[in-house]
Amino acid sequence: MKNTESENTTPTTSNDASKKKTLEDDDEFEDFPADVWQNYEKVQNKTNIQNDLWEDDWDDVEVDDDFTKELRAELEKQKQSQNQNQNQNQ
Amino acid sequence: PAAAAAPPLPSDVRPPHILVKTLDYLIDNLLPTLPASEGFIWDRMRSIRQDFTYQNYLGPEAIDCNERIVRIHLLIIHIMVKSGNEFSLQQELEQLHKSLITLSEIYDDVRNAGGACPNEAEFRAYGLLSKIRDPEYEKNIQELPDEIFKNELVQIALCFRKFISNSGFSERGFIRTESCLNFYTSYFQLMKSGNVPFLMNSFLEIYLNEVRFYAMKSLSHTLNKKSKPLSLDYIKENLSFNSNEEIISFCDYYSIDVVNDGIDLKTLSHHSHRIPESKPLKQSYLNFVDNQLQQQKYQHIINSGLPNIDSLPNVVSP
Amino acid sequence: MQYSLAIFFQELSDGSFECLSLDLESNGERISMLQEELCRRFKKDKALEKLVETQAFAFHGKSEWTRFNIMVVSFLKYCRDVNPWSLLESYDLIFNFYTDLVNCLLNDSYPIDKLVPITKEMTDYVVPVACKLDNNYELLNTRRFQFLSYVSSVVSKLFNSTKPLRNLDDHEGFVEKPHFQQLPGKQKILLYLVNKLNNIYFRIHSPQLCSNIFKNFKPKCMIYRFGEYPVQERIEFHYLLGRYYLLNNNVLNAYRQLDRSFELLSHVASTLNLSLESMQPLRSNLQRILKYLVPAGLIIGKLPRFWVVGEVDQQLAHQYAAVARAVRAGNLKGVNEWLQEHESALRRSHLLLTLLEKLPVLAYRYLVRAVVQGYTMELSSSRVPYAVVRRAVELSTGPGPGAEARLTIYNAVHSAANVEAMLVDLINLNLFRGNCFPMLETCVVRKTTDVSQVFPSVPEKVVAMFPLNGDDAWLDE
Repeated sequence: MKNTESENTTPTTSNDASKKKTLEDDDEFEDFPADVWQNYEKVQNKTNIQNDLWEDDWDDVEVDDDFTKELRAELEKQKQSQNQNQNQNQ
Repeated sequence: PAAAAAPPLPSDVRPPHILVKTLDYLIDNLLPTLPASEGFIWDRMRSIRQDFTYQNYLGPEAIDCNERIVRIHLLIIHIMVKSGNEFSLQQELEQLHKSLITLSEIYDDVRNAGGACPNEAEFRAYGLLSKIRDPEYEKNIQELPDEIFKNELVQIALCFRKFISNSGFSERGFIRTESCLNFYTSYFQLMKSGNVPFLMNSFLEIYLNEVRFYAMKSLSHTLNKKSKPLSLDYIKENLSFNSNEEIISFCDYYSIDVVNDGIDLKTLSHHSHRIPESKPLKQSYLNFVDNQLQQQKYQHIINSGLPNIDSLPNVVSP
Repeated sequence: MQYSLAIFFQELSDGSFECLSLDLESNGERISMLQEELCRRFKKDKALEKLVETQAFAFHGKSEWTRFNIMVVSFLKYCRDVNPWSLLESYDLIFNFYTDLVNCLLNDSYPIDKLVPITKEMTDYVVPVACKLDNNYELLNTRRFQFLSYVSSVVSKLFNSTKPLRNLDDHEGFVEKPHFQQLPGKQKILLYLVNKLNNIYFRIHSPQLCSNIFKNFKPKCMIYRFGEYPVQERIEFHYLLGRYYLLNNNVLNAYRQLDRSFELLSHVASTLNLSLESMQPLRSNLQRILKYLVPAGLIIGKLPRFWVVGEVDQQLAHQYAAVARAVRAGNLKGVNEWLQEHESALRRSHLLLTLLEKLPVLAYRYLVRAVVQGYTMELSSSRVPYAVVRRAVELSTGPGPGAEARLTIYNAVHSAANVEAMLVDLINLNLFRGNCFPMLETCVVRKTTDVSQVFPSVPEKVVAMFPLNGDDAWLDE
């Protein structure tokens, strides 16, 4: 009796498996080692929060791919034919 | 029935196979008498659904009846609007939504049990159109398997949802969101492309007034003082009205000035397609959709699905 | 060490409630010793109940705490009957105890504070157990998510029972505007419970249930400002709220919350000099945030610095850089092909249909902007003829679906036939300043050499048209 009881306390492989992520869900946050948060709360002079994730203005970032070239050429063509029309009308 | 009403006696509840026969009878003998029989059919269909609910029956007969009931409601909506007879669109839609919700619950159950229902995609597509701005439906459809999500009817329904998503839409309790499309031209064009079956078009017709209203409203915001009135031909062509008379009564309803050479959209001042405390605008239909209907028999449209009897792997046909 | 019922009861009397842990890994040795003693002496439930009753537990002068006794009996039944090799044989014992433990906390008039830490610990313990059982729902013949749903109903009882104490009568040591350490026990875990519940709701595919939790959180909360809560809980809260907004296509609000979450977590990392290499959960959590933050940012017209994204997640940076280029070029075909290429992953994260709806407007803006720059401004004109825009849209969307082709969300939404409605849409969203002349098939814009006069900044216009939810303002305090 005593023997089996003490065996009960050893976690079995099936118990180990229960600790793993069991549902397919990658979106849930993972825990950090607890001391991370404790250390953070202890820090007195925290650095200033700065967010350098975003560009200042998307409009300033030019793209020069095949499509852009094709579009430019087409607009040039449209422009030429508009100029011609105007000249003919004058 | 009223909430307080006593449940029916078991002897008064019809068993599933009788309910199927009842619906068959309605389809064969009463659909041809539409629009006159609308109220009667509405009532009989509701009681069929109730009888399934009382016995908590979710088998193939329930799927079959609910599917055909949805189709009948869709057929009726077009027929009634075309006929001009009085009917309650709101009641028709209410029963339609209930059937669609029942179906989606059954489809989920069948799927969880390892089965599949052959007509599911069609009714998921209607579901997407029933609450056309509710993001919950988009969340759910993305979770369903490829054979549903990639089904052409589902994809078409999603296209219509995008056309109509419209950041300018305004209704009580609705939260507008960023960068939506308001592609009214595409809405009409796709309806008339020949790719959309009659029943789906009939469903899409219930949004015609609202699509036209928001087209006019956003167009009006782009006009300036120098803009000339818009010709009736232009309006008819771009917003798919059947006739000039329809345009005039539409403008009348929203107090848009009709002038000699067209309509003056700048006079439109309503923010929402719903004008508080006034009767809603008469529903519209498209001639194109009516022509689609003329080419088919009612029974054929309603009974167009595949049999549900084998949807569950372990259920054997009786 | 020899452990016994007598020691156990003494610990309870002393308020050392950590002895109530079900976790066999940390508490298994003691549980096995209790099991032996209980099997020997208290085989019958009645005897067990009697035993607990005779202990006459009293805390802070409160005796007759029936729910406490019931909970202790549940714990002892677990100790006596648990089969450590079989979760299937033991789960009802686990859930019974957990329910009874939470029941103790529902009535604030008892001295419940000391039970709060073990309740939190046991919540962390039962959620993975429920997940594991739910994973086998077909074998167990249970409903899908039955166990997690059950756990969520217990946790939500605890959440609902939490209310702000308003005066001294409610709680000794009452402080008007308390800091975290001054909060009563349940208030200390309020944000923890909020996150726990919302995580479960996402897991059981019912995120609409989060709505009530978000709505009721602030009225329940008595902390002096949101920033007092533990930073890890705040980071997770912002993340979950952001995802919830995104599911509802509420993109600016989603962006605001996700960006805050990213900002706080990066800040923790830089303050403590944590490196992505040495701390895997740091990288994975940042990845989780960026997975939703990057698309939300793009939709409201903000371009991420992809090298910053790439430090956390090279693949994500690579992926979204491609679609950002297509949008910036005004290339709708490129956007559609990108969506199609990443369809299954985007569907899994419920992003596909949101991006399908909201990215094209930006692509159209850049396309029309190119027309105004390359045509209208070149000609020193103020006209943007529909015909020219139509040519540009034709190039951008590529050839439409052929007569025989199946229609899809990638080939049937955009077409050159829709040019006027598209321009009207851009003008109505304030992303393009111009007037339409439908009868003349042309748009007229201000004559200028500065394209930003005609195409104002997207994020500014989005913020002006779709204000942030004012209910969230306190989260920045």
